[in-house]
Amino acid sequence: MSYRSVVDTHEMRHLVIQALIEHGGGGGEPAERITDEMFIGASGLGISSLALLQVLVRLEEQLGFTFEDAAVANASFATVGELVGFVSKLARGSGGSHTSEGSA
Amino acid sequence: MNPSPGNTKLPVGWYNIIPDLPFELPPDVQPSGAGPSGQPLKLQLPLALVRQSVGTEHSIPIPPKVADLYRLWRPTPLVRAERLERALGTNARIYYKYEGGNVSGSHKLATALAQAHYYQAAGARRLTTGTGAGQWGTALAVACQAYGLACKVYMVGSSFAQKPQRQTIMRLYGAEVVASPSPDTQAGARLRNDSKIDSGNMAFAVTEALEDALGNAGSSLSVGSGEAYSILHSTVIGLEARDQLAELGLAPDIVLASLGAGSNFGGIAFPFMKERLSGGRGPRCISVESSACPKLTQGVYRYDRTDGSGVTALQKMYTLGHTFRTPNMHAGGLRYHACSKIVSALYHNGFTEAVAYPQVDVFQSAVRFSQLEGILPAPESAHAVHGAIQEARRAEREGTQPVILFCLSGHGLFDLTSYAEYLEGRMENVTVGADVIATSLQHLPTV
Repeated sequence: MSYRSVVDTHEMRHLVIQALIEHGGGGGEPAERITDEMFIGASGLGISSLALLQVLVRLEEQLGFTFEDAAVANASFATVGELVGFVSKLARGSGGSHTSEGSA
Repeated sequence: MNPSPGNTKLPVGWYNIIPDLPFELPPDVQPSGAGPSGQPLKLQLPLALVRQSVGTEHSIPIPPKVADLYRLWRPTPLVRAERLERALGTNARIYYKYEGGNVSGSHKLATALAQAHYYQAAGARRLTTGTGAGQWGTALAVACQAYGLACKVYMVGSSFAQKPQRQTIMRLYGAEVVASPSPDTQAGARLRNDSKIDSGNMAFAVTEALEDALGNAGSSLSVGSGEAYSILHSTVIGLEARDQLAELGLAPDIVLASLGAGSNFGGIAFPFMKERLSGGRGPRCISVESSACPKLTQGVYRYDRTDGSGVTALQKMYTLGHTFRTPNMHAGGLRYHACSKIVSALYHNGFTEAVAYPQVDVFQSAVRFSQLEGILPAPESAHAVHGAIQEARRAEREGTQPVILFCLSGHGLFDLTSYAEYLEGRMENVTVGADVIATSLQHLPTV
């Protein structure tokens, strides 16, 4: 079973927000109060660029999917929605490869 | 010289200590108010290096191309310092792992090549960095040349002036080298106009390199000391030493290395710590720092900035405060105000020890070692030499016969100005007062 069969856009958004919270994003804010328009960085969820990379690695573990470094390198995101869109696009088939069964 | 038998092979993987840590590493924290509202976060680091920093695998495979490049000078020799032992009249057996036998002259090439490999795979075309004494800058220049990457090095101004040969060798490998603070960045220009700023701060150099990388497409910042992946790549040193000692039927009782930010110490010590981390016995692992920058022995375990930018994540580590100004001294690679969060956590939890020595004592041991063993240590590496001699003397007092292993992390052939100052009696010991440290620590960020 590939990730595509179990993760739709809504679920991907949920996974991204959970991973952001796991890495300190939101300062205790509950997931349901995090919106697509919120900034990821210091003026929003308070995520550092390194923590954001760790979020991507966490998503790789959950999805059983490896993002290609070249696809991620020098990418930049301001909002939660932009990050969800970026991860969804990569996972749909460009910029990554399926590795093993994920935990999603 | 008495090189070890040549049966040891290059390790197939680096040792990842993180899964063996019996405690959680404190998470990094974003500094409050960092960055303007809505500023996008730019992903600078290859995911491969992030995976290595949080991975749960005990061994991370060394990519074939990196292994091929390693084989140009690895495995490095493990040497018994028999003449030093006899001169000391000790029953201790003293071994050193010599990492100076490559063009960069230091252990730094192990992670520089690995980083260049992963950055190139991630599409980088140019790497920027800050360097203190020049070993790291040289190593990155060599690695970038090997991988076809451009390279710009911001070198701490005092080292830039003291070591023109370091500039030359970096340029030989195609790197652009400037003294930091430089006029090439906004941060550098601002610092150059500040009359209170001297030219001896590694944090400034890294800040400039970061600004450069963020402002130029295809450029990334590469740093080579305290990051988990830098230490990981450096564990090839300890893994080789472990196998080389095992060939002799030995295991160390004491492992020493100088401490800048952590790659040298972690590189040789971590592969020997697994047993102790799981509750068993293992060698005493001792980091040797400069009394001019005594972060473990006189610093505090708190969240602090890792550079001067004010926007990078805060890390919990032993620190003298990011505003600490290391006094002028001759071991530029030991000037950093803090040390790796992994090395800090190990020390905080009692798994390692730390000592600090003043530079005249260190140079005295370095000259003695050189005359007996035929290698002139870099000033940073000389701290480990001095530490090993102190441990041999302690063993004599206590009637023990330990196997002492230390990392001779680089040669001192670019440091002859410092040795001349020592020979001419112009070198002075440099220590830092508790009041100076206390003042610096007042500026730690609030978390």
